[in-house]
Amino acid sequence: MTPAFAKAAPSAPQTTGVGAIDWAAIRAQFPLLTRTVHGKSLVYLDSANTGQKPQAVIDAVNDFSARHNANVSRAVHALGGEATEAYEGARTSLARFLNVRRDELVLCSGTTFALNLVAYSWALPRLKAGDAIVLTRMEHHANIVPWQLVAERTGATIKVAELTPEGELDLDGLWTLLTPEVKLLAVAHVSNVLGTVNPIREICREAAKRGIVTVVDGSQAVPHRPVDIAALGCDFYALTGHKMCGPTGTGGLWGRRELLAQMPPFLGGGEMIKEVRFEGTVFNDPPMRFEAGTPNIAGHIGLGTAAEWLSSVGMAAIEAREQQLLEHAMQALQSVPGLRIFGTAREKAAVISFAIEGTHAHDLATLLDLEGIAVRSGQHCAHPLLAWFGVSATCRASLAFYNTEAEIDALVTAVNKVRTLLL
Amino acid sequence: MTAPLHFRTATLADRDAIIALVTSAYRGEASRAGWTTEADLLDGPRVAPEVLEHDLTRPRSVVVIAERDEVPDVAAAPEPGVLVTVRRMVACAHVCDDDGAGYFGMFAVDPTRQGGGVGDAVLRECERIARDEWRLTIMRMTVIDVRDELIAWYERRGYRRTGVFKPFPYGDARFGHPKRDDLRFEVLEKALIPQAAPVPLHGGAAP
Repeated sequence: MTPAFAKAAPSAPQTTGVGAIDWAAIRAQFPLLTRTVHGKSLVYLDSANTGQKPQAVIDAVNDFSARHNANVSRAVHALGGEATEAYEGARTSLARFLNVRRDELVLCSGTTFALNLVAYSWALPRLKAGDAIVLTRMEHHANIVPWQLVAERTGATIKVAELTPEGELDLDGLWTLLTPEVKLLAVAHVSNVLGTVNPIREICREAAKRGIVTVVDGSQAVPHRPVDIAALGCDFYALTGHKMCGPTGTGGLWGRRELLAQMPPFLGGGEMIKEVRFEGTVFNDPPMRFEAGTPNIAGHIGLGTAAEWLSSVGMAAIEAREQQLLEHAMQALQSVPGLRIFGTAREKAAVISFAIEGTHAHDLATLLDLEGIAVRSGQHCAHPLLAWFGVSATCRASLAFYNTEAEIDALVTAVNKVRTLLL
Repeated sequence: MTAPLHFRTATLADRDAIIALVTSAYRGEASRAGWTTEADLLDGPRVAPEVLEHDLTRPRSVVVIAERDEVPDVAAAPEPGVLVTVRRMVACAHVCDDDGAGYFGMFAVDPTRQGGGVGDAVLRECERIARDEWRLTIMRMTVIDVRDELIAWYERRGYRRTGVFKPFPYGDARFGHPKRDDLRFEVLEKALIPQAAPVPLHGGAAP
């Protein structure tokens, strides 16, 4: 029997294109966006940090906890069946959303877990002294530190692909790094600081020609543009749920079946085994081999709902709407005296890192918060990138389809006001 | 039902298999099993190893391999009644960015598997790479101009004759040993139109 909550269709309207979508009605499905902060209407511009949740996702999580809660894959009673069906249904929804096979999709706590899983289960047993890993200057720490740990333990070295002044990958430079000792290339699909959209298909094609395994950090891509993993040509793709309208502590790793099949378990425990004897244990097949212990059941049911909800709005329409907002924001922010924007790639997601000469990013963000505006300040888990730009911190306004032009105008007004206070 | 084709990017490890496939499609008696044969026009090699190695490794140059899972001869089964599928290379082609235009070449379909739509699928995959991955707007190729049947095949797929001719490299053994002295290449080309129409930003109705 299908659990009752699985019947509740996402409440997004049926739409055909960005112009036909009532974006105010979409926004109205996000209850948090109606609240106030410091007596001001909240302007939430920190979606690259974490995204807000539509009512359909909140309801799916609550409904599971209120009416269907049981452990998955290990109970014959009715609730156990409902929970398993809903959890595996969420895997199917997410797999469909990403255009991958469901048995190649490992559910986990997010991108950090996913990248560590590849580092420890694929790279650590294979790499050796003399091998090399290629990263890029724009990576998030989650796509740097696991590889450094692998390099330390194996004797492999790390090479870094550099950027153009606009914040795009220097592709000719990257190709020269792809020498025979390189075994793995890890790259962000979209930069969390610059918004740069990297040409993943071309990069993976060049890597595949050289037999280099590719790992793509999709954290900032999946929430904001259509991602067809099957078409990208990568070997692993990591994503996080909480940035794509899902709950925190959810996410996934897609891997090629033949690679997942060769990988030993990362964590040991229940669910990831076929048979346990003290003489030896037979491990389960992927993806269960990598899902030890009781998973975040309610969270992933919420993530499955988020994937269906986003599909019902349409990822192409979401991307187009966010490009409208980005264009508006880039033009409006350029009117602020002394404001410098980091990252002006030709293909750019709606992430704007900026600094104002003579002010500190934390002061700026703190005063913007008093105006009800939530932006992130700091180094955005990307120390090497900010060091390359020669700054210690930036402010980052990151947009989502539920934002409005009026909110961007409010940001610009507040930035001008704060600027006069600080200077 | 025919098993689906799987495309992958060739590496240096595929070099010898590619040469064998290309040779079988164009040269010698084996090639006469298919219609792409050039056995009456040329002998000798169709692709030089050093040229292929360069094509396999330089940026914006890809050799696409099409494979299919096939059930081998029942007699070859490891045990009676056990059938194991084998992934076989059935076609290949080279596509590259030639100074801002796509260039398609080294196209070969296993002579025993021609006529089933494999070549069509490989050509479309190469066009997709040039158009979607490299954002090129035109694809070109050169064909021996006396091969009317082959040119007609490309014309049915949107290519047109340009009237631009290139001399056949007589005397360069890497291109084989010609049996006639009137061979020359003609350039064919096709505009690559972006397939995914952009989502309209304003207004859902048609303008």
